[in-house]
Amino acid sequence: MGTFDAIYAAALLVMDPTVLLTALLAGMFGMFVGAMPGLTATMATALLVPITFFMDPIPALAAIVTASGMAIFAGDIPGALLRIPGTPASAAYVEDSHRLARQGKLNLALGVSLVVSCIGGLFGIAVLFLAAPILAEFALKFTSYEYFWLAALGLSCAIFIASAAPLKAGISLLIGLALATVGLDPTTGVPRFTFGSTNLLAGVEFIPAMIGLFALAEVMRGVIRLNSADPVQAMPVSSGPLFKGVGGVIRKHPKNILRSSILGTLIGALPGAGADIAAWMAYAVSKRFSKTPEAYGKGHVEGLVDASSANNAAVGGSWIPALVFGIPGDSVTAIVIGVLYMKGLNPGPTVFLQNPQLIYAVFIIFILSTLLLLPLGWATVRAARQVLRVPRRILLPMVLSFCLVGSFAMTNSSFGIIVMLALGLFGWLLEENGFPVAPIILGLVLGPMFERMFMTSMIKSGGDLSAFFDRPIAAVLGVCVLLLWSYALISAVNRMARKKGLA
Amino acid sequence: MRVTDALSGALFIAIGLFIFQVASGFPNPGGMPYGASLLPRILGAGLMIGGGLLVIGDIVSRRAAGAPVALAALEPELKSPRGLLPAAMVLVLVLGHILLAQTLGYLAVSIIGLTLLFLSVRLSWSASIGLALAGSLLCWWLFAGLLRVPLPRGLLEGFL
Amino acid sequence: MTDFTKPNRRGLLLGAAALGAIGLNPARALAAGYPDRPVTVVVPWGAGGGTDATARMIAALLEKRLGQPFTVVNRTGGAGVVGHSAIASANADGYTLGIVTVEITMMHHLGLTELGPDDYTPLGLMNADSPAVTVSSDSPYKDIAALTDAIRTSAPGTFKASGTGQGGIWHLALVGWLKALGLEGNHVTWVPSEGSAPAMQDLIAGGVDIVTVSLAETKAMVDAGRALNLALMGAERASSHPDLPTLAEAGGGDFALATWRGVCGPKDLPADVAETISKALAEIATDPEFVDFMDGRGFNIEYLDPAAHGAMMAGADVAMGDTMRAAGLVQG
Repeated sequence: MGTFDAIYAAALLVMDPTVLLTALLAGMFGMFVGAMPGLTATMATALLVPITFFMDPIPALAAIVTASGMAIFAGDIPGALLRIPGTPASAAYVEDSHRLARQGKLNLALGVSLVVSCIGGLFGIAVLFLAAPILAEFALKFTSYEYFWLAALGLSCAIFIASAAPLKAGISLLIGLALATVGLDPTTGVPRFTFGSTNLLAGVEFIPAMIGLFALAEVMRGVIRLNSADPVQAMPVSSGPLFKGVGGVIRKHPKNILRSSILGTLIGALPGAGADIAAWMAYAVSKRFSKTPEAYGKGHVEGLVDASSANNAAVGGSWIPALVFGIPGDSVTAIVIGVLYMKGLNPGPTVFLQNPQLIYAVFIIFILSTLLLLPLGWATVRAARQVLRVPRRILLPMVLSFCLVGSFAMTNSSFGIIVMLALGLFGWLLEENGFPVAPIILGLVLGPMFERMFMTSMIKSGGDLSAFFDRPIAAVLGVCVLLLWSYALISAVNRMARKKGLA
Repeated sequence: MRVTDALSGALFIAIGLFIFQVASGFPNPGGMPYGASLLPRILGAGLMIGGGLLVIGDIVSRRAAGAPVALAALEPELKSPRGLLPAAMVLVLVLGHILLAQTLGYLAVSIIGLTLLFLSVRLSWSASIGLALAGSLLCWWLFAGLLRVPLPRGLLEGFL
Repeated sequence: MTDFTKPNRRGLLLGAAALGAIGLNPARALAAGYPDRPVTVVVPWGAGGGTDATARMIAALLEKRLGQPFTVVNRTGGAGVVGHSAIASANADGYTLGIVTVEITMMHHLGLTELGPDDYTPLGLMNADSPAVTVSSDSPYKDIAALTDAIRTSAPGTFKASGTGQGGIWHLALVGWLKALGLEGNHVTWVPSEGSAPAMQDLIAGGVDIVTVSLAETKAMVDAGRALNLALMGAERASSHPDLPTLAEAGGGDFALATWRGVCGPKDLPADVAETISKALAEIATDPEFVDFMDGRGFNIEYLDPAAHGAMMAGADVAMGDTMRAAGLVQG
C-alpha cells in the first residue's frame, strides 16, 4: 500500500460518525477531569480503559488521545483562576497566569495558553509524523548517564526561574528533593524516613503535595481575610471574546513558540522525561534569553507562551518511543501501549509497515483532537470563568472541598489528605516568609529520577565518576550542566562583590 | 506567621541536622561506599549551609539597619477571632476528613464541616446548610459516582 | 438495626430484577445475596501496568456476570506493600477484593511488612509468567549456552543485568539462575531499574548486557529486531513462544521461576461470597474475551481453583524465602 493510499484509508477510518462522536464525548470528559484540581490526565485515561476494551481500535484510540490532550490543557484553567496548577507542568508558569488574571487579563492568559498549546501540539504531531523513527533512535541512546544529566539540567532550572531570592529558592528545592527521598528506595530496597508507616513507604505523592502547597495555602490566606473590614480586592470578572489580543502576542513571539516546540518535542520523546521537565526548561530558557527577564513571575505573557507550547509539544513527542518501540514516555502512553496490544496493534517499527493505515489514523486523530481543543477549550474557559462571579466566601470552601476529594483520589485513601494538610500548612508558612513553593514541586518531580539515575550509573561503572562523561551525549549534557552551574556561581559571586563595593 | 530569616534559618539547620542524622543510619547494601544515605545526607548538609547563610545574612542586614526587629510576628488577621475562626474551621474540616470519614462517611463529615466553615465566614444558617448540602452531594456525585473514587461510605454502608 | 434491613432487601430485589433483566441466573444471585452494591478491586500496582490491565479486564467481566460495578482502585507504592496491606486489612464482607501478586511471598522476607499469603482468602489464580533471558541483538551471544559459558568464565561484575528494583522478582530470577549455574548471586551485577521498560531501553542503549523480564515485556523490542530472547526460565515452554527453549532444554542451567497474579479477598471471607466470586473467575478464565485479551498482551493464562491457589502461594512462600536467603537479600 502506498503512503497516499494509506492516508486515504486512514481518513476514511477516522471520518466515521461514531469515531467523531466518541472523540467529542471523550474530549468533554477530559476537559472536566483536567479542570478539577487534583485530577490528572493519567486518571482520565485510566478511567477510559475498561470502556475502550469493548470498542473498536480507532474509536478507542480516539477517546484516549482526545481525553488526555484536553485534560492537559484544562490543567491550566484552575492555575489561572485560583493559582492551583492542574499539573506539575503548569506549576512552572502558574504565577504568571494567575497574576495576569488578577490584572483582569484572564482571557489573554487562557486564550494564549489555549492557542499556543494547539500550535505546540500540532508541531509535536508533525514531528511524530515525519521523523518518529529517527527521533526514537536518538531516544534509545539515552542510558542512566544521560538521564542523570538531564535531571540535573532540569533541577538547575530552579536557579534561573527564581528571581528575587535565589537562596530561598534553593532551600525550597532542597526541601522538595528531601521529600522525594521519603519511602522505599527502589535502587537499594531500603525504606527511608518512613518511621514504620506503611503509607509513607509509598512516599510523598506530588499531586496531593501540589494541592496542599498551592490550593490549601491559598484557601488559608483567603479565609482569614474574609471577615476583615476591607477584604482583598475580588478578582476582576473577565468578559468579552476569549481570543482578543491573542493574535498580537503570537505574532510578537514566533521564535519563542518554535524554540519551545522543538525543545518540548525532543524532551517529550525521551521516555520518562516528558511534559513536566519540558515546561520548566522552556520557561527557564525563555527567561534567560528574554529582553525583559525581570517581568517573569509577575504576570508576563512571554514565559507562558514558551512553557505552554513546550508542554503540549511534549505530548506528541511522548508517543514517539511508544509507537516505535513500545516504550512508554509517561503514564498516559503506558496505558495507550496496553490498549494498542489489546487491539493487536503491537507497537514497534513493524506497525508502520504492517498497519500503515492505522498509524496514520492515529496521526489524523491527533490532529483532529488538537483542533478540537480550540472550541472545547473555549467553551470550558467561558464556563469556568463564571467561577469568578461567585463570592469568595462561597468559593473558597467549595475549592477546599474539591481539594479534599482530589487529594483522596490520588492515593485512594485519606493519606493523600494528610499529605495535602502537612504541605499546605508548611507551604503557607514558607510563602509568608518569602520562600517560593514552585521549586518544591520541581524537586519532588525530578528528585527520584536524579537520584536513581546517579545510583544506577555508579553501580554500572563500579563507582567511577569519569563514566559520566564517557558517552558522547552524556558528555555534551554534562558539560552544559557544569557550564551552567559555574555561570550561576560566578554571577552570584559577582553580585556579592558588587554589593560589598557599594557598601 | 512571619519570622525573621535568622529564625527560619535556624529551623532549616535543625531540619538539615535531623535529616543527616536519620539518614546516617541507613544501611549500605552490598558494602558499597555509597547507597541510600548519600543523597539525604547531601541534602541535609545543604539545608544546614542554606540555613546558616540565612542566619548570617539576617544578622549582617540587621546590624546595617540598626533597628531591632521582632523575631516572629503573627499576621494581624490571625490575632482576632474574625480571622482565626475560619482558619480553625478549615483545619476542622480537613482533620475531620482524615480522622472521622472512615467511620462517619464522606458525606456526613463534609456536610457538617462545610456548614461550620460557611458559618464561620458569616453566611446565614440556611445558606450555610444549603450550600454545604449542595456542595457535598455534588462532590459525591462527581467523584464517587462519575469517577468511581472510593470515598468512604461510613454510616451509609449498605445503602449506597 | 431493623431499619437497615428494609432498604437492603429492597436493594436486593432490585438487584435481582436487574440481573434477571440482563439474562443472568437470578436464582443463584438471590441465594447468595451477594453482591448487592459496588465491589472495590484493589490493585497494588499503578495504572497502565500489566497487573492493572489484567485487573481491569477481570473486573469488567465480573461486573458483566454479577451485575454490580467492580471498581478498580490503584493503591500503589512501597513495592506493593501499600496495596497488599489495603486488601488484607479491608472488611471481610466481599466488597473489597484485590489482585495479589508474587510479591506477597517476598516482602515479608525483606522485613517490609508482616503480611504473608496466610492473610488472604484465595479465590483463583489467573495468570503466571516466566521470565526470559534477553540480550540486545548487538550482543555477541546468540544462544543461551554461549552466554552461560561467557558468564561462567568471566570475572565477577563483568556482566550487568537489569529488569526491576533491588530485591524485585526479576532480580531474584537472575540470582536463582546464577545459583543454579553454581555461581555467586552477585556474579552478574544487578542494575536496579524502575520497571521493565527502562531496563529494556538500557539494554538497547548498551547500558546493561542482560535483561530478565517476562516475554510480554520484551515483546515490542524483540519484534522490532532490537532484542533477542535466549531462553525461558520456566518449567515448560510458553504457549505464546513455542520456539523459545527453556533453560534446562538449552543447557543453560536448571532453574524455573514465575510471577503470578491471583484474585484474593481479605482473610476469612464468608464461604458463599468466596464461592460466588471463584465460580465467576473459573468461567472468566476460559471466557474468549479474557483469553483474547491475555493473548493480545502476551500474558500466559494459568488458572488454579481457590484450594490450589492457596497451596501454590504457601509453597511459593517457602521457596521464595530460601532463594532470597541464598541470595543474601534477607537482612538479619
